[in-house]
Parts: sequence; structure tokens; C-alpha cells
Amino acid sequence: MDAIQAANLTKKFESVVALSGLDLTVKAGSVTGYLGPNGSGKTTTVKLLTGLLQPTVGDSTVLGLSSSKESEKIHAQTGVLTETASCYRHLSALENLQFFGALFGLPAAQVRARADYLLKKLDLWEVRNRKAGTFSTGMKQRLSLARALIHSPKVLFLDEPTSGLDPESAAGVNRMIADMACAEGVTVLLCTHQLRYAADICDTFAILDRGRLQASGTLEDLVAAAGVRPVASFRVAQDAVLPEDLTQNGECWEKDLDSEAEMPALVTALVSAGVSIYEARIRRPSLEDVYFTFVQEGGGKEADRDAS
Amino acid sequence: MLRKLFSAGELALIRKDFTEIWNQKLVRSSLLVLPVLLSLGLPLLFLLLAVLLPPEELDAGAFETLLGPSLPDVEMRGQMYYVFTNLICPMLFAMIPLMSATVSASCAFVGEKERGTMETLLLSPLSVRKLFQAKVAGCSLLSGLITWISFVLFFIVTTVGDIVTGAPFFFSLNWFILVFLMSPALTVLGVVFMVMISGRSKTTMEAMQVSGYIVFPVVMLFVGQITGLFILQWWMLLLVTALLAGVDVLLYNRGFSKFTAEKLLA
Repeated sequence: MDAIQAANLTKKFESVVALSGLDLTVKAGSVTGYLGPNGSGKTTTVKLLTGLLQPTVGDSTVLGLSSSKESEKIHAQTGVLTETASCYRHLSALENLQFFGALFGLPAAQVRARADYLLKKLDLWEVRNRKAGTFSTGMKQRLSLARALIHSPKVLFLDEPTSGLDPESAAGVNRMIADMACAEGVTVLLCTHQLRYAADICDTFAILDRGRLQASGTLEDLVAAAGVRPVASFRVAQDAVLPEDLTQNGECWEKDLDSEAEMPALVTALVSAGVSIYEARIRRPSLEDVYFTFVQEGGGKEADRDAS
Repeated sequence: MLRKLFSAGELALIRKDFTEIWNQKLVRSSLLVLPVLLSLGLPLLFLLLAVLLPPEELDAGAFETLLGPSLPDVEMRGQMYYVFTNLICPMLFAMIPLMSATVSASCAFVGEKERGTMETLLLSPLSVRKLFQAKVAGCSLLSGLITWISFVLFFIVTTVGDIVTGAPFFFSLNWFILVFLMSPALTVLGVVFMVMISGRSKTTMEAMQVSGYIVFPVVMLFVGQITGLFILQWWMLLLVTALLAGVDVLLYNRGFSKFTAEKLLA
């Protein structure tokens, strides 16, 4: 079943087209990385899907509910974390969660138990009675995440959830998101610039640039669509005489491979030619390689939009 | 009774708004100091003046011009106090529901945008209509409570003043209409006016300053009375109240139509 569906979703603000013709499907229980540079339309997409904005053209559904007509029902089952949705500065961390829990119609005892769990999980337990206005950026971000999770949502929209967090906290938050998706079957749409974290926890990806979807699918699908190939990388002796098809990249010499099966023959050829090899490895296409291929190629290109 | 009218989520929102208003020093002092000054401070001051001023300082001619022969058996101090409580105090009192409504509504509506929490509220399962209704109700309840407490204080001081100065008991049909009919209409006017301008105002202070536009006509209505141009009769006050109620309904519906997620987040 699809948790999120968007069909030709378009949003124009006066003369600016923030999002154009988005067709997106996110399967229930998956963690989808929604990637793109600043201004590519990620936040606009989240706001359209959650009913905060009305589309100019097209429509979308979340858990089978129309974003434009049934947004309150969507909010009851989804948690949303955006960079502009804050918690109340004059309330403590615990009071904030208790307020939002009550807003979601949860009984006080259930809210308290859930709030305690989230505050401990997100390392806010020691400061639970401090006013949110005194928090650091990272603490505010973690409190916002707790707020988005207070009602145990089925779908999470996370817009840069690790923004402002130190590496340890960011890794902890990402682990938590991955655990929730795995253990509780929560569907996650994760908007992020941090490709390393996205690669760690996301099953599928969608790459957006200048309001248009460039590609979507698993990493393998994106690699195939981008035409990015594995690279053989060698660290050799300084005076080595190497074939012309190897190019230097820093300390290493590299060659594109059509497949990993070419590697043994290549190593054999170099050794036979008397090259002293200190290190040989295959550099597989990363999410970063794929991302920069699609984003650098530009916004107007719609070929290979859906690689899955 | 509130639990029957509002859901748990709406009640939580109303409680949160009260806490937020109370926690802001400037807003809290506006809601406390001004009503106390207008309902207690000034009447008390005037009472002291009426009691302590020597008779030769009192201008008998001025009172006759305003009152005519309506208080022939009341001595000068009583007449002076009667003029104050029936011609000046209604204007002061009318300010209380209007200003407490605009101050609390500026905090509840514009303040949410200012603090970046409007978006968070819009992501709750409360519909935009219920959010709107809960906030309007909360601000109206708070303004109503302040108005009532102010009236009780004013009633006590003025009754004592009437006894001490020998003035007739102040509470007339005019006062009944002002307290029980006009004040609620002014409360709602203050709140819905603030909702109307909340889209344009960036800060709470800016919104509070713009609220002066609705205070002015109310002041002018009573200034006409103080200057002796006319004396407001009960039917005039009733007519004004009916007009206010009509404007309230119009602005409420108009304000609600502007209260969409997209407009609020713009």
C-alpha cells in the first residue's frame, strides 16, 4: 500500500514555480530520502502533502486522505517537523509535549508516558522542566522532533531533522528514525542535505532540483539511471608506468569499470606489467555521486525521472 | 460548561493562550494596570477630589449646563460625582473590554505568527475553524472576565462615593446596557478586528498600535456627551449596541474567511 501519493503536484507563488508536476509514490513502512538543494521545492512539497498549502495544479493523498480536503485527518496520523514550526518558548519541554499531546486528543496519562519516553530517548530528560526558550538550537530541534512523535504517527515528514545537531546527536536521531520505521512500520519522508545520513537509513530516494523531480527509486535504480559506473582505484609506487586509460585522482589512479567483474583482470594486467600496487579497491557509486549527477545536469531535464 | 462547548484540544489551546498572555510582562501589565486604573484608580481619585475640594472651587454653572434641573435636591459635590460617574465613567469603562480584547487577541493571533508557532498549531488535528473559534473564545472569555472584575471594583467604589457625596445611585438603565450588552459586543469587536489585521501585522506591538483605529470611534461617541453636545439616552446606547453586534457578525465571518493556513503562513 502507498502511504503517500502525489500526482502532477504543482505550486506557483505569483510568478515563481516552486514545484512543477511532481509524481511521487512512497510505500508504507519505507524511509524515503527526499533530496535536493536549497530552494528545490522540498519544504513546499511537505507543506502541500500536509495541507498547509493548496496546490495550483494536481493533488496528493496521505494514507488515502486528500491533502487539500482532509488535512485535519492527515495531521491526526502524521508527524511533521519543519524548520519553521517551533515549540512554545514560555513552556518547558515537558509542558510543550503535554500541550501538543492534549491537542491531539490523547489522555493525560498516555501523553505523560510517551513524553517521558521521548525526552529520555532524545536526551532531553535532564532539561525537561526548563523553558524551551532557554534551549540551544540542537535541543530545540530535538524537542520539535519529540513534538512530531508525541502521538505515535503512522507517517513522519521530517524536513532537515538533524539541522543544528552535533554529529553524535544527529547519528542518534537517525538511528531512532530507522528503528521506528523498522519496528513500528512508520513511513518516513526525510528531506535532507546530509547525503551520508540519508544513504544510511533510507530505502528509496527522490531527487528534486528547481521544483522538478529528477529521479526516484532505490540507490541501484538511481545509479543505473544516472549512468554512474563503479571505479577501480589503485595506489601505486611513484615511479610506476601505468596504462593510458588510468587517470590520476589525488594519490590514486582510477579507471571507470562497466562492472565489478572487470577488476580481477585489471589487477592481473597491472601486476603483470610490473606495477607495484599498494592498494586496490572498487569505489562503488555513492548517493553523493548520483545526487550531483542529477542536480548538476539541471532542472529542465525530465528524462529518466522514474528509474524504478 | 466549557467542556461541553469545546473539545479537549480546544480547551488545551485556550489554557495555553491564557498562560502565554500571562507570561508576557507587557501584555500582562496592560491587562491589569489599565482596567484597575480606569475602574478603580480614577473613580477613587475623583471621589477624593469631590470630598476634599473646597466648595468655592466647584463650578456650579458647568454642572447645571450638563445636568439641567434633573438633580435639584443634590448638593454640589453629589452633582459633581454624578456627572463623573454617568457622563465620563461610561467612556472609561467602555475602553476596558475593547482594550483587553485587542491586547489579548494581538498576543493570541499575531503573537503565534511572531513566535513561529502558528505553523505548529496548523499541523494539529484541529481544523482551522476550530483553531479560530477556540482563540476567539479564549480572548473573549479573558476580556469578559477582566471587564466583570473591573465592573465589580467600579461598583464598590462608586456606590461608596454615591453614599459619601449624596449623589443618586449611579447604576441606571444606561449602565445596564453598557455592562451587559455593549461590553460583550465591544469585546467581540476587539477580538475580530485583531483577527482581521493579524495577517498584515508582523508583531504584537504593531497590532496593538493599529487597534487604536477602533478605540477612536467609541471615544468620540462619549466625548460628544462630555462636551454637552448630547446626552446619551438608553435607546441610543441600545442602537449603538445593535450596530456593534451587526459589525461583529460581519467582521467575524470576514475574519474567518481570511483565516486559512496559507494566508496565515504567508
